[in-house]
Amino acid sequence: MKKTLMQGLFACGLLLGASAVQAQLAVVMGPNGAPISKDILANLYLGRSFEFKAIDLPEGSPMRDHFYKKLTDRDPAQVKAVWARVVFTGKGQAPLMLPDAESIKKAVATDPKAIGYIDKSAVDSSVKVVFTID
Amino acid sequence: MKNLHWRQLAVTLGACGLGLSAATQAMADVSTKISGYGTLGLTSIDEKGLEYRSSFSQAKGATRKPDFGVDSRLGLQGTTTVTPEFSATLQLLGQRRRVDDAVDSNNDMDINFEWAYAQYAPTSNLSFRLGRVVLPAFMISDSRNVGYAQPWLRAPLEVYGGMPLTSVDGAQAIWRIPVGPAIFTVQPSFGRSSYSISFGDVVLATRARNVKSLNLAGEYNDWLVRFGVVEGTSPLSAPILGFLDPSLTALPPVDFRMKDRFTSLGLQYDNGTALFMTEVARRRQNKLPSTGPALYSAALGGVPAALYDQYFADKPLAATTSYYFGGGWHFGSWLPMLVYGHSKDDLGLAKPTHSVSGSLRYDWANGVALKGQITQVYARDGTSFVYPDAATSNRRVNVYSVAVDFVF
Repeated sequence: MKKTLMQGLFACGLLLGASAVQAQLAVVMGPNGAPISKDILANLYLGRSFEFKAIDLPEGSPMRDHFYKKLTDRDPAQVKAVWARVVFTGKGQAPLMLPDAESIKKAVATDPKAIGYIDKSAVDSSVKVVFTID
Repeated sequence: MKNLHWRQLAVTLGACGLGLSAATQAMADVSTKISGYGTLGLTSIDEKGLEYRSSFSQAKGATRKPDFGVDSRLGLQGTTTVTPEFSATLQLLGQRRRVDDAVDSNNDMDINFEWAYAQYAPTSNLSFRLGRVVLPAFMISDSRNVGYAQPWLRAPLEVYGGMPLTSVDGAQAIWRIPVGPAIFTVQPSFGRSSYSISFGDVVLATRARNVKSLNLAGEYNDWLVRFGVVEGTSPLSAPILGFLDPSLTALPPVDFRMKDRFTSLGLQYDNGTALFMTEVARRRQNKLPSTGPALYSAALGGVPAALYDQYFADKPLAATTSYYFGGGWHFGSWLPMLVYGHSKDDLGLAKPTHSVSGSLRYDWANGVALKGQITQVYARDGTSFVYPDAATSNRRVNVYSVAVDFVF
């Protein structure tokens, strides 16, 4: 009986742990990338700064929505409105969209100016984590 | 580009697209992005005999019969990147705007190149543009036409309705200066521009020469502070007395160079939930000559000369101070907002006017927003109405609008 309870608690902990891991995002750059602050990262993903080339996941991706909510407190529609203003005032182009962590890692590993975000579990030695989002 | 219709817009655009993609195929690294924005809006008012408009350049407005023209527009933009440093941008915009001054003209639909420029960006923080470029007169005037980028359906006309210049043919630089997490932007522009303003049946289509503009902005986190100056010189050979009283347009023209200057300061806070915006703008002009044209007294028995002395001698044609403030709150996909706008004639010729607007935005689908807005405004407001009602000066009018904004 006691053993079953322990097993149940353990499984529960695993589940909680699993969902936490799933929600954790790593902002990655090439191997020479230096840590970046939240404000500067938000500037890149809200079209205020183009010092680095921001890379996005496709629209509608839950990971993308989570990334913007945590970084900027904005919903997908609000982010789209912000970028509409940037693009149609000629200030810059919206981030390049890549389909998955593999293609994002490949892009940042070869371009020192590129920055992207991937699931933390997908991080490997080809990229450097410059910021973490829970 | 006058007299074009939507069908021709589509054909022109198709040709542009073909040209751009042909150029794309010719050079391996060249890439082209085509995007667009638009608003389909329906507007009506609850009073007879008035026509509500959304800018000085509209000579026709919404009446009690719902009108599609006041708030609807369609923009298409193509940017071709040749190298990371060199690019070219074209933006075609169709909207209701009178660009000729023929009295009986019915030409209210205008399709024109809003932008057409080449850009050289030696670094990610510095760019130079040559061609027809955006004129950032006020805080959001560079994106006022992009309804999807705006929280409200229509920007407050007290500040935005009176500025007829939206772009200049000339040169522009944009210099971004990052200071820690804050970003400062310096954006000077030079050039010339053509524009039109309409007062009832009097439409003045002219060119502003020597347009100089400086736009300074500071952005930090959820805050934006912005200061701007725009100056321009327009030759006023049109019958200026007509501005005061359309029945006087038959008088001989005054030859005068009007130096116009708009100065504005704006503040915006948007943290994703709460939104607050405010802006104050001042318009100043040089003074008209102290003695009217000799023609007036000689040809017309002295009466117009007296009128000139009374209304124009040693006075600028226009001097206004206007401001607005507004706030909203995001509830999921809904954004309700309240805005108060005020405009004062600093020459004391007209009573101050103000308006109150309530708007609601609903983000319906990816890239599509639905909006509604009710604005209450005085019938005497000469910016909002093509034929303002100066006689019953405290009459208020309700303006009802619904719109779909989209980007693609």
